[in-house]
Amino acid sequence: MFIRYLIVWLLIVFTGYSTFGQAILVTKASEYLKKNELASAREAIDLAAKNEATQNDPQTCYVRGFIYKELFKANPTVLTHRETALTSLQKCDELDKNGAYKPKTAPVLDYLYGSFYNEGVEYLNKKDFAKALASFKPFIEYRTKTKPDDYLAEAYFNAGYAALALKDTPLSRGYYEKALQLNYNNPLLYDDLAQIYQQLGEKKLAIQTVEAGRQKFPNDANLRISQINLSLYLKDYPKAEKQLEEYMRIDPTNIDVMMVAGTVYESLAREDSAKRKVYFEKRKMIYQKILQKSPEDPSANYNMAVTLYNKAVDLLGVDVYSLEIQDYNKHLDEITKIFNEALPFAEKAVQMEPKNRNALKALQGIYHFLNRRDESRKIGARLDQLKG
Amino acid sequence: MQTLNRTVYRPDPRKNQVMIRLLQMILVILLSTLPKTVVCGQSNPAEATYKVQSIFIYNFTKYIQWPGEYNTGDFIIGVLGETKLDSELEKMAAAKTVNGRKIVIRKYTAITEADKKCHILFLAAESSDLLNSVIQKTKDTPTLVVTERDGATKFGSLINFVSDKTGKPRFEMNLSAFEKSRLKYDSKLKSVAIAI
Repeated sequence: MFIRYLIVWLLIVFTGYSTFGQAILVTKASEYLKKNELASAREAIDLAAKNEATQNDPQTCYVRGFIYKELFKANPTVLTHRETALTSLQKCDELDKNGAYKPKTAPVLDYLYGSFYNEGVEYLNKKDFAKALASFKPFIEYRTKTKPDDYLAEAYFNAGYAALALKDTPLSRGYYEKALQLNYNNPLLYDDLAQIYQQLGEKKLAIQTVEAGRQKFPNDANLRISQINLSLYLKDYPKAEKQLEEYMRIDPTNIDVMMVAGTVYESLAREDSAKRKVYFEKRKMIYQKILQKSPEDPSANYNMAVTLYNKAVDLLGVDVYSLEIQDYNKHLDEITKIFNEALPFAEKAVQMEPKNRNALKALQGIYHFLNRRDESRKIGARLDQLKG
Repeated sequence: MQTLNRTVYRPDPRKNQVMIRLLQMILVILLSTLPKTVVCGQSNPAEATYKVQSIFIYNFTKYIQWPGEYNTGDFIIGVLGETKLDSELEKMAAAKTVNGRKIVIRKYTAITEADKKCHILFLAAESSDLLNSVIQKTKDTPTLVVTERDGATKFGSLINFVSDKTGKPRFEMNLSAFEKSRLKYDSKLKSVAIAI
């Protein structure tokens, strides 16, 4: 260590601070660099960078940028090395009037900005979306000016995803649109962007984006679901039903598809009161199918319980006041039967997800109706505990 | 030259996110479109029970006859004790009448507050220990005392809400108490009741 410092300082003394001497320092720094003696290289180049004779020489700035890049590469946690490298290379570009250094600085800059991209990906995986976004930004800025390639498209997509996670919808939209312009080839881009348009009330763009995505990725499940959701959102229920049935034909045993079907039938029943009973039966059948395949599925159990529960409550509508007492009595037979039918599904849903408040509330209501008041009270106590 | 890391190695957080979103969507639609369901976290678990009782009480106004002096003015339904049945009764009162007479719902915290001319008096299960004083207070009046506690008819209640083995809501009719009261009931009512 001492010898290394001595050599550097001797160089300074012998060269008498002359311009020539300083130039030698830059050469020496390069030599240290070639021998991978980074600390010495840094000492030498920092001295050269401080001296008036060499500090404005593009060669000094380039070598300094390179050395600091190597220092950063050796220890990527020291971000100041990357900052110094970038500042030096930027200065080199400013001083390099005829562009002689450009071919040399470009790969170094590629490396440094590439590190921002990689950091962004790592932060994304750690779900640190703010840091991910901050990392993608400099990469995007640099790559837009230099190489607008598929890495740039992917960076835009990732930045859009991070912005969306941070609930910055306009920013996310901007990044996603840029990714789309660069033909980024990922169905999730179409899916997310369509949902952003939907959220922002831009129906036409939402439809266009989903349709473009569906055309490009005809087998993508998420896009199919998004398309159905969009039809529901646009209140085009016949279209939603048609899309759903087509989807179910292609993938009749997929539980996710069936869960979506249940939701679609629920919406359809709400909108079309004349066919409410038909859609209720379809919905019930769907959940039965899911539960045959996967009896422990908590969502299917819960949805089945709620479907039946709501059906029973629906049967207690305003018009029931007009029924004759004997008809009302028969009506109660049917309602009670449905509550009893709902009970095992609600119990299973609670068993599978003991902290699911909605499942607990459904079960509490069913117990109460069936006059199982102690059990209803116990569930109420569990709900109170969860509140606390 | 450094190579850029493609995102292929990441643990695909988006895939999970989409699944979560899908499940959320299912629940959100369920919750937002089914206001009557308890799953929305706002409705009372006893809501369906109150509705059933409210419809029964409305039927009592149709199938029970009060003496002459009770057939003018507002039709008073009193509710005594801790229950939210009165909210359901209020909804019923807003939509229905008794032979063109306005239905008025009164909420009492003590039997002393009860109107002198009260057509129906409902005693909540949690306040069943007040049954004796309710019977004392109403013994000389044609007030239909309705309860919801097992065995309440033995202590003078005229109608008592119960459930059968399947959990079906039903009601008991205390026929001897009806005989002593000045209330007359339609045989249709008796046909669906559990006669005591």
